[in-house]
Amino acid sequence: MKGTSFLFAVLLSLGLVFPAPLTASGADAEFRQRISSNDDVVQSDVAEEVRFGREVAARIIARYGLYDDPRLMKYVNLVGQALARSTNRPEIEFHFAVLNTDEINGYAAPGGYIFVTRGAIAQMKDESELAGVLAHELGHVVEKHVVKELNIRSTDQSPEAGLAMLIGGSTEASRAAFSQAVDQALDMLFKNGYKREDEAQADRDAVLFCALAGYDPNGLVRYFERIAPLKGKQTEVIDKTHPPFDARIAWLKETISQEGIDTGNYRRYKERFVDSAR
Amino acid sequence: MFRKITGFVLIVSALVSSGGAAVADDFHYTNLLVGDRASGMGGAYTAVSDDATGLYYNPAGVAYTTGRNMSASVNAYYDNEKTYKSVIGGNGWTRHSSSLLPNYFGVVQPLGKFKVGFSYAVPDSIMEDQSQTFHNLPLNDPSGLNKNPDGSQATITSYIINFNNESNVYNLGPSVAMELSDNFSVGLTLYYYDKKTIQILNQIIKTSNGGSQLLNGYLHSEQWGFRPILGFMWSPASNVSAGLTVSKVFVEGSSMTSQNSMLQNNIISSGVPSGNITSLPDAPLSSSSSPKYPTQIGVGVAWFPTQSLLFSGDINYYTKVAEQNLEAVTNFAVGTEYYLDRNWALRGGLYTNYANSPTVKTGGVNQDEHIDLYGGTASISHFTRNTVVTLGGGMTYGTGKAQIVGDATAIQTADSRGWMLFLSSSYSY
Repeated sequence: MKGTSFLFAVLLSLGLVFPAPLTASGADAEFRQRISSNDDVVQSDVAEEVRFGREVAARIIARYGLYDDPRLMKYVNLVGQALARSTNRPEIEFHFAVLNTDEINGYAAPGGYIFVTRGAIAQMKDESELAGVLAHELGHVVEKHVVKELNIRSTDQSPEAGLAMLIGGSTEASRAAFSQAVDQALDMLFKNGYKREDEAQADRDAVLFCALAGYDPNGLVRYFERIAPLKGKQTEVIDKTHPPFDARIAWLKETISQEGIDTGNYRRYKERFVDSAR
Repeated sequence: MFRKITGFVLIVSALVSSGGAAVADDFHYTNLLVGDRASGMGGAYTAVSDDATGLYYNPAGVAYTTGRNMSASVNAYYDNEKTYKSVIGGNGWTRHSSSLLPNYFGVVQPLGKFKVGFSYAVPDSIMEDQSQTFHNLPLNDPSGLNKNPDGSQATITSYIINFNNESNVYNLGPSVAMELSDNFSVGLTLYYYDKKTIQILNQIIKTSNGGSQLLNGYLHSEQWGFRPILGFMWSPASNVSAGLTVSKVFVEGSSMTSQNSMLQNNIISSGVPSGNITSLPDAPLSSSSSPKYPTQIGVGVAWFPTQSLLFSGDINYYTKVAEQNLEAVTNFAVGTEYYLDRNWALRGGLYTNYANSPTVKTGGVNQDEHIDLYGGTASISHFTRNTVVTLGGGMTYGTGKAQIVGDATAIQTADSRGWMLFLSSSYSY
């Protein structure tokens, strides 16, 4: 009898009595969010975001290293700063850099740290394509995708918080949590990717940022169309962490259309790109 | 074990044995509400469970926790008084239990696509420290052999009882949860289960004919095993969630040791040798039988009409366990939560805690008590950026029948009243 009960318990534990998954109705868990979590963003939150982003950026640089080309680095920064002026996060100081890897990708760390790889630049034909990639990464920072996903914010220093920590027995845990969150952010960047809707939002932001800065918003479309057929180690991470290119191209074109952007009025700056990046 | 003593001492020993209820409260399943938010909502939390308390109520809900990490703890004071009317010479018998204990701690943390957690819960606890003295009671002496010098029937001049009872149920263990889709999640908690009970009874009886009796009883028991809780959470609409849990306690081992000793002078009682007795019996008894527990199936629905308002309801069904003489029970709970603003929230809840014992019937003997309980809770929470501090309380009340005197057909009316206060905090970082 005891064996039977143990078996039942093991079955329960293994979840072998799961019912068939129910059909999704498109609902999600956002309705669970309570009004108490609608917190104002305060200056200390921005400082925490930058502190967190700096740690993530350091880990990205440690993984790939920076590309030792001061002229290219300056050029990428100038393009990036032109785009950053169009964003609604003036409290952030953006930094742009080129990673020394053949992999084709771009990365954004919270707090304004934007990277594009040497391999990605090698696939680009003009400045509007570079702007498109940088603008997409800017979108992740502007929309605070990592910040929201990992709930990065400053720690409450109030006496009440101290009391709660004391009662709850969580005194040193926040330090460990910071380190764990950095690991989670890196997992998002290199393994799991952002949520699909976050990638879509960053692509749509990229269209707007490029247009506001005078770049052809179709640059990102052309770049995607060029790298989409590529397979192998160069695109391993971007394929694993991003939605399929055909979907991304579709919603880029949809955004351009919906926003009524006449791409003929915007510039590609091919010569300038060739001079600086080649 | 105290029931094993027969004859004259029944009048006392039976009081404790029938209070077998004293082994935690085995006659009810919702003895302590755990968790800060859940306690304020009457325990109607199966379809909510989206914080560290969800590890206990429905681990699938933990998949929807926000934040990197969160912990919650609850420190609660419980007080319960149970009164059996017309037990000893028309006197009532009152049992009082109170305890201050940290009854919940839980921590949740994301791990890849999973949420993992660890929690500790005390879902049942009794701490009784009782001292009661009765005077001038009639002597239960069917043989009529105990006479005063003038030939009249002897009576009890004083009856002193001291009873200590400590019984706690502990659950502790890990949990894991994950979202299978945007609106469906699954979770599992695997608790180590432990139940410890210690009872000590001392009673002294003096009779009008110079007789006296001293009884000492001791019981120590422990059960250990595990309790898996498998949970599912489904959101069929944009602001509605439904939860389902299945759990059961599996006792894998147990031990029980008991001992009764008695000294008796100048008392003649049936069933024991007449004259003076120094011990009855004096050898400890032991047992290792493992009791069975019911399967619990919980179903809950929660409606989140706005970011400030929430309604939830639970139905918990417990299967019949014939080996333990436990009837099937269905309990209900409803709760609500309302945010006055983003810093303050109020909660309230109502719940039932029906007895799992059979109805007490006329003509029977040694029947378990049957008291159906009803409870209400309320709490207020204050939110800061990372913390929630909650102060809450609740009351329970119920009436029923009991057969507190062993081997007798008399049935007593019983009522139970309880209240609790709790202070809790949760912290996310």
